Amino acid sequence: MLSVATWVAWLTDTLWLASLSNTYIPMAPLSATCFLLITAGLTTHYHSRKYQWVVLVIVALLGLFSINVLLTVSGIPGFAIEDKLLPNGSAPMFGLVPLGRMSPITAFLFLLCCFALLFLTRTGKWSRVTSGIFSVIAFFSTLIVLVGYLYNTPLLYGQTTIPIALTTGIGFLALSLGLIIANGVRSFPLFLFYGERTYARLLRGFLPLTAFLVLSSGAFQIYLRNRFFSNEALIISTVAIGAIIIVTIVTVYLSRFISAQIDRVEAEKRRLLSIIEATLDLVMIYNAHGAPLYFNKSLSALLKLQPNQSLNAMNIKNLFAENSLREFEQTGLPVAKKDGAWKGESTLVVTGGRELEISHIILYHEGTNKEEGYYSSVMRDISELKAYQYKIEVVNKQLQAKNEEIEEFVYAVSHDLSEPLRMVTGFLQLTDKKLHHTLDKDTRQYMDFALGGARRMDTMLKDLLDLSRTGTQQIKFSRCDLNTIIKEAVENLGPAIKQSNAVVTIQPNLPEINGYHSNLMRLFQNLIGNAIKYSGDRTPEVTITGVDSGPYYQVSIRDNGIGIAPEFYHDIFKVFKRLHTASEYSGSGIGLAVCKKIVEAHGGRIWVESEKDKGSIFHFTLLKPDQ
Amino acid sequence: MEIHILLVEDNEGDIVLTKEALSGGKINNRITVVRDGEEALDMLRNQGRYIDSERPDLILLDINLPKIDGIEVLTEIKNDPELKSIPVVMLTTSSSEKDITNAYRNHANCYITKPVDLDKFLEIVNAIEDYWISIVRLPKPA
Repeated sequence: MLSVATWVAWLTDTLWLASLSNTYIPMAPLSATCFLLITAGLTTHYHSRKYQWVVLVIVALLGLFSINVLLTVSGIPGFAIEDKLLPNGSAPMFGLVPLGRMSPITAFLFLLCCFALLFLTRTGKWSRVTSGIFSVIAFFSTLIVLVGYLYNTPLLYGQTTIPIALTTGIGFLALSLGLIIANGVRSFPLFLFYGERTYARLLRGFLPLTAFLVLSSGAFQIYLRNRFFSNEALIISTVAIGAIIIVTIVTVYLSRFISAQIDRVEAEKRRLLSIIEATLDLVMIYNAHGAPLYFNKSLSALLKLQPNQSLNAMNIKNLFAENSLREFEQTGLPVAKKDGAWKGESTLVVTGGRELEISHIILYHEGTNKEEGYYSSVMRDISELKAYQYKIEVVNKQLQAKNEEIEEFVYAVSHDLSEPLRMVTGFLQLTDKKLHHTLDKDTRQYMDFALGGARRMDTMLKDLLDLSRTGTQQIKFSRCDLNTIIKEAVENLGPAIKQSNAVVTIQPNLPEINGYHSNLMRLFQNLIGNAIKYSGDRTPEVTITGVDSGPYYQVSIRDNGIGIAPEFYHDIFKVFKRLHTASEYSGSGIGLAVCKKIVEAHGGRIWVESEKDKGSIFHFTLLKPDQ
Repeated sequence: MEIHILLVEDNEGDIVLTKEALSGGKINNRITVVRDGEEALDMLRNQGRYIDSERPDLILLDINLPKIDGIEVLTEIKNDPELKSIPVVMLTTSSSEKDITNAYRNHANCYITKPVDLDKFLEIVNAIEDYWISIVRLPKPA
């Protein structure tokens, strides 16, 4: 804008436009041209990356012009471009200096801005910084010029040669600021002011304020000088008082701000430290070589350290048992450094050579620029936990062995008892056959009781044998489709269903689970069979539903039969326990015991909800396939 | 027509019951009883006491025998080219899967678990007779 104004001024011979005041030298036309060029260059750089070459051309041109001017001034004859630009005729004078020529200061500043723009177009770590440096130098040089104008010191803006115009100075101010901004907030110099770091905040707040105060104090001083130009002492003392007031205000404010920040951080640090000191966990901070920087209270107590004992001579690597140390160094530290944290278990060796098992978290903390990163460990004593785990394992194994023993026993008993039973039953029957007609009524009744007893014993033994076998097959679990299994069970119960006109409703789309197909089929057959058998006078209605229940799948079989009183909820699952006589309902009382065994072998449990005469619902859970 | 059945069984009571059951059947039969596995093999090979014994048409074999057990006897019979064609019916108290599998693996012709109930037992023995003698064709001795 300024350049356009300047050009207009020159062309129309209204010089005041170009200089803002008659006392100041106006901007030279060449300067105006150069301003236009460089603005164009900057805009191009901003908007279209494609036309980088345009920028480079501009830069080249400007460089050429500037160097030319400098050369001319220093006496070396070059081609005087400027003469070509001037309007025909005279080279009028402005005071002692030819009017309309570019000041060497201007040329120098243009050169600086050229380089700044040039490096702006380059990519690469150092080009940004270099561009920033050039922009900053340009900025400060401009400031010098402007201060010169402010305080009316012609020396600062080129008294010895062609001085630089005020308008040019303002133009350069804008240009250098523009170049600084173009560099971005992440690079020099703006990154110093940007962000929430305390450094940046302080700079942002105080640098402009201080600069303003200093400049205005200078201006104030000059004003005073002009007013009381005789009384030097008065001037100086006024200025001194003013300075003291300003400095006091600034310092007080600055101190308050900084100390508030520091206090906040300290309070936070104390809070966190108190937590770390209070915890029972063992906390330590150390560097990559193992030199400890901090032990918390619990750790110091464990290691029986004196309250003020120096940590310098220790190395935390000595705390670990041998194979644990290997894992610590080869896995723990590297993983923590790479991912930020490592979790695992280690073994410490404490006073007396005692080994202590701990759960271990290693954290890695990035260092600041100059410092190396360091590590911290949070450790917890898990030896009790481990002891419990071990105990549980031992007890489990014992239980398993016991179970196997019992199963074997049941099998042996039921198997071996069947032979003598056969003898008893068989010959009783034979005897009965042979002597039937000769026996009186009473004896015949005795025979019937004897035979009845023998037969029942046979059934019970067979069922026991069956029960003992049910548990031993869970080795071969495979994927079972509940829908198929239930269908099979229902088919097997065909005659019973037909005979009682039972209605069996099954929820569709039951899931697959892992299990033993034939056992699961038995389970459903027993439960559905019971539902039909114990229907009382009503027509049996059996409903089978299933629902998700966490890691289990829960199946429910509801019937409308005679129901079970709450005091028997547990008894019915006992071996041979019945709630009715053989004449009321058939059965040996082992069906539900078998069901319970099958469900438990599949990782679940079975229970009943019922009310006398209102029907029952049998619920059981089976582990889902991925558990 | 008369058939010769070899009964290999160590339990006296069972012997009586089985003989009783077989006597009530439709077909004339002659029963030879041996009480352990060794005797069974002697009898089949005409050795020891059984030099003059005749080859049976059907063998009823128990598993739980003293000295050599039933499965071993079975294996011997079915590996002997002279004897392997005689049908062997395992007639035993055991209902264990293992025994059943073993028997068939060693080429038993069939496996029957003795029921406790006398009437059922009689039914089964008659059924055996019926099946293996009336229905099924047996090879003529070579």
